[in-house]
Amino acid sequence: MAIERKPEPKWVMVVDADRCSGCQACVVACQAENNVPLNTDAIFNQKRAHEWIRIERYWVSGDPDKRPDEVDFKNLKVKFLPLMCQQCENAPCEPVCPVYATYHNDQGLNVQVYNRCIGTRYCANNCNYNVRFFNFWEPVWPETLRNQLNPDVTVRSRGIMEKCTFCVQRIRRGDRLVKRENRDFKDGDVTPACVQSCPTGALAFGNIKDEKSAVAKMAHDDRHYRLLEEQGTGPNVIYLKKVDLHAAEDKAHE
Amino acid sequence: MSLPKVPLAVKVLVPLVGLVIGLGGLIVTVGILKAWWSTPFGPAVVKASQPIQFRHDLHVAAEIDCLFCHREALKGEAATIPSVQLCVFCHKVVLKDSPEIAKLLSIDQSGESLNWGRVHRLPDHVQFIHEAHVVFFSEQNKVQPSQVCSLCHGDVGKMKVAEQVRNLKMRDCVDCHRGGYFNYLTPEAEAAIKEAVTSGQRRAPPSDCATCHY
Amino acid sequence: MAFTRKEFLKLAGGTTAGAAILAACRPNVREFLVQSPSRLPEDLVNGIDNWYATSCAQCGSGCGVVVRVIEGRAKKIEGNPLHPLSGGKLCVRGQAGVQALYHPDRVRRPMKATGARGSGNFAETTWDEALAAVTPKLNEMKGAAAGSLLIVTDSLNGGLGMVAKRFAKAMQATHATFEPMEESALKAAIKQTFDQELLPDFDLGRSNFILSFGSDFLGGWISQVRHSRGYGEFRQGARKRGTLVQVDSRFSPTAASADEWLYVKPGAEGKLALSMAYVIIKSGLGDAVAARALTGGRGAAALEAYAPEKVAEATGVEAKHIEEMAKSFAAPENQPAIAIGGGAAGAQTNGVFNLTAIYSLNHLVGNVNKPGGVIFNPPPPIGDGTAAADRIAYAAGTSTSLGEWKKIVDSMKQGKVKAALIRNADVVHGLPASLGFAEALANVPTVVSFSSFLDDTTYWADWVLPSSLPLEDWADVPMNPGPGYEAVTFQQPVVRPFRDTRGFGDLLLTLAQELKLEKDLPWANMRDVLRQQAQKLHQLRRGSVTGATFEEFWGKLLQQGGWWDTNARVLPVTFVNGLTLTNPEPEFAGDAARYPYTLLPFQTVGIGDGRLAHLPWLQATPDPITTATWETWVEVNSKMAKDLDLREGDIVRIESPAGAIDAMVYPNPAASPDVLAIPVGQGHKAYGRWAEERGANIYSILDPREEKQSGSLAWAATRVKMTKTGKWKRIPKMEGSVVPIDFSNKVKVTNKDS
Repeated sequence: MAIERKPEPKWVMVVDADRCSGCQACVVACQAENNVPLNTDAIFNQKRAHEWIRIERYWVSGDPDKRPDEVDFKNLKVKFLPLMCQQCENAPCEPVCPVYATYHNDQGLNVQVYNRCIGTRYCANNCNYNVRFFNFWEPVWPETLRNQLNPDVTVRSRGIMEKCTFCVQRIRRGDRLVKRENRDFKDGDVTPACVQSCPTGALAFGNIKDEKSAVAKMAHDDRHYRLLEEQGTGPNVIYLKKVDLHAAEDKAHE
Repeated sequence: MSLPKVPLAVKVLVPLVGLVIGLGGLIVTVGILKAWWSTPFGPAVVKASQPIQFRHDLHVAAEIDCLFCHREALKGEAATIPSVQLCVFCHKVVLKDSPEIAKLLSIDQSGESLNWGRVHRLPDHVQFIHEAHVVFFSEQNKVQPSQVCSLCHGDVGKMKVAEQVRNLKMRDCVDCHRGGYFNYLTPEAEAAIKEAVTSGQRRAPPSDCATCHY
Repeated sequence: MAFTRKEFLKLAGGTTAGAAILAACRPNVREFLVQSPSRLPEDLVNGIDNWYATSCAQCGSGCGVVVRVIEGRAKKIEGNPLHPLSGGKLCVRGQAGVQALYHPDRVRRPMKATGARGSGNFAETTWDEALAAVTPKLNEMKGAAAGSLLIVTDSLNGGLGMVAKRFAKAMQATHATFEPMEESALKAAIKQTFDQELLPDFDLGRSNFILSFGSDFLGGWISQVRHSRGYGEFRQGARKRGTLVQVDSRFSPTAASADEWLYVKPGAEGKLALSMAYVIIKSGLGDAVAARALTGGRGAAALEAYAPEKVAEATGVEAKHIEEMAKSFAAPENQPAIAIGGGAAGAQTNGVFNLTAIYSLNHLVGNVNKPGGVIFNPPPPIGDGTAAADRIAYAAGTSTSLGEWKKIVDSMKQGKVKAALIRNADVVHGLPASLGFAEALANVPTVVSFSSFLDDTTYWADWVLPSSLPLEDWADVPMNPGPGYEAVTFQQPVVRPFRDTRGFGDLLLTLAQELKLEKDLPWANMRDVLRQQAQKLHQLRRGSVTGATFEEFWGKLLQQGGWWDTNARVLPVTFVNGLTLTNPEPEFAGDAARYPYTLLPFQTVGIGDGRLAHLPWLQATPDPITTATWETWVEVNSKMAKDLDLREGDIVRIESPAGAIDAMVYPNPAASPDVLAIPVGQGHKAYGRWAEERGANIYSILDPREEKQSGSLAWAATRVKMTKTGKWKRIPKMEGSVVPIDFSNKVKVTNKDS
């Protein structure tokens, strides 16, 4: 048989915070792709909104000596940071699960197995990035809206933890594609919904083992860092820092 | 000193209650054990009621290939159920006077969709890809794709009413992925695959949870 | 048997495990229906996905999209990678298009009113009955006095606009178009500054310096996707990183992403731009020829009145700052630089003055119709006629000024309007309440709505003839603004109508046949209209789609989602119009003593101007700055809120000379103390379960004040006061749902070690 054994890819996302404009396109693209329950106002008020990818907004003081709440309104800045499951190499959520519902697979994904999950919520408590979401109630869609649900993705039920999967259903499609064509992964074979929609191109996704891939090149950008990497979680999402003209000045002062 | 006289009611009730509790406990225990390790109670397969008495046996006897109707089995996740138009394509001529076909034709006229009962049912939160399985077995065994279907679906050609023959629970899948699939390969194919897997040229069937659970 | 190990574990925890085990053995028969899109995942209908190209109609920009359709159901919308505007990308509003399709409160079939006008009581009926009732009424209009029939639509262009326009003309009807926050002032300013009828394309991606006045181009202004794609390139594309300066009265998402945000007093944008022009000309930067043409040969002296120190007070920007900004804008190393403006800057009574001044800066840096600058759009190659003016009208559509609306309302009140046909225009919600459109509509004997949703205006209708949604209908979209070259997007039905609806164009053509208007409207349906236009494109024998036969061309056209020719551009122009310095002062409704704050309505990235308020995904989309959702909030400067003893969620009464609404306080550290910014789009009386009776309608308290030159509504020219009501409500917002990860203090700019 002609199919050769290919090395497993390792999936990595790169987020260029300098491109991100906080437009939320990724958030809704993800909800549309992954059958994320509707976030009603009541759910927001309970602080239980599900956003597998969310945009965090940070107030930044324009004056290095003052906190954001101390400066004049004209002297404030904002930084947007898209945040999704970091698919940690050394994930804090994994060892605490009593039923092994979350584990790491060969492609570098932190997988959540819905069938195993019994809803202890230990993983969410142990997650450094707050990107795990618990279904406190059965998600409800009005009958007609169910026509939109994506059949490739499970509809989670009550009592189950869910999170960003790097659009594993699209990765599986990519697996079949490269197998059918008997070749290695290349850029564009797998594109998660958020990456596909992002109008500013702030998100990139690919196989970091492939040196020709865009993410492999971006991973060596001068601005790269990983969120909370000092805690040793080994995130598989690489961030490129937002360029701040004034921060550069601060550095000159140091 | 004589033993206090035990009332008859107590004499009967205590063992009876004990028996009920014991038996109840036994039932629950057996239930727990059975549910945990194997297929739960009840029939593994629930017969679906169908809006039209479709006869798989007749269609197979007429030498219609499985893939003629279930057209996507080689291309994607689902084998797919044919559209009413496809049925009507033949049946506007063939047997158009039969009462069941009349039902079909009237549904076609009304433009409604035909709500077939689901026959094969997987557990929750599982994805099954027809393409990968059908392609693998037909390539390895060097047979037509439609000869692969019966591995899971049984001999549909003998069924008046289609029914699920395997329980399609996780053990069923995993047993096959862990080596059971050799049983379905020709000796030559089996030898070739074993050789390729041991030499590292190709991967054994995946057993990663995320292969199916997403 | 529907009993899993998981459920078993759940049950084992209960006390009645045995009983429950037995009870759970009965399968739920409903779950076994293949076609039933039930709650269990394996019951979702699976099949092969088809991708169809069409055009997105969630906003007016006309991005090409591809829709994933499985077993006849639209599942997901993505950008069309071939399309010049979207390039495979899509914004939050576009993503939500599928939700409109399957909205549970969509009108199922034609309806007729059963209760009093405005009560919202309707009974379902059939198309035959509805058309049989409406057609004779329209037939009476045919011989009646001109203007007896009123047709209200959204700003239609392309084939649909042509059909609507011809229908109105043949019926001697008044054709009014309505969009709540339309950009008429911008169009007027573009005409004055560049002598262009169509809006230009802003080539942000190849620019090195963007100076933006009030235009929230990253928050949905004109074309979110086109501008965001450009912005991404501008930031970290192949060229050096550009600098973005946002001049705005509100800390918008664009201001948040900018390198520099300059707070400007509302209405003073034009003065600031002229001041920058003064500095540029005076310091000898920029294009001297253009400078002379702009100032009528007088040079900086003509703008003496706008010297930085003279406008510093009026604009609220320090003279030093104006000078710095002007010099960096015109500095040779920052070229090409581009100045754009719109939004609140154009929504003042001096809007055209502001925008003309802003866009004139482009002449000074000589970027007009050059890469990285303002690139003009040629008229599309098709139109209702072949003359350039016809083709321009085909793309531009029409817009009805506030003055004309006042006249229309008057003639309705006087009983001159006998029938009104309304499509996709929620005038009752969107026009300032003091104009009294709703009451005037009660005076019209027959009102027919073509809306697929019961919006506030449709509530007043006698008949509802639901028109199909864009994903179910035909259209061609000559984009305005286009991508800088000739381009037409084609919209095809990707799914069958989910409800018993018909296309609006098809309906008009059906009515035209009944009314014997074949002379003006010779087509049987919209598809024929489009095929006729496609014939013209086919005969050009150039562009992205060609074909030996027309059928081949038509097939490819629909497959690619449109036609464009990157070589068909506007030739370089040297036209520079002199600056007109009339009407520089903004006027506000309400005197500053009684009404201390300027009301700044703004569109959020989700529900926009309110036409998308019925979609739950968009309602739940957090505003990028406040992260608030689902409600109407007012952004109050944090320090001022503290002084006024206002906490987040306190309900305040916002009162203008024209009316009052309630809103929840959101203390925003970056809000100006002079301005109260409130998102528009809520406060619908109707419009489905997710929009009705939610928040407050800002449009209702706007003073109907006109922009002086274009006559459009000056929606940022109302002053308000704010009083505490003592009530409190929690603001539904994303912020605070989880502990934020404050990365900014921990990570250095560069990290070369790891």
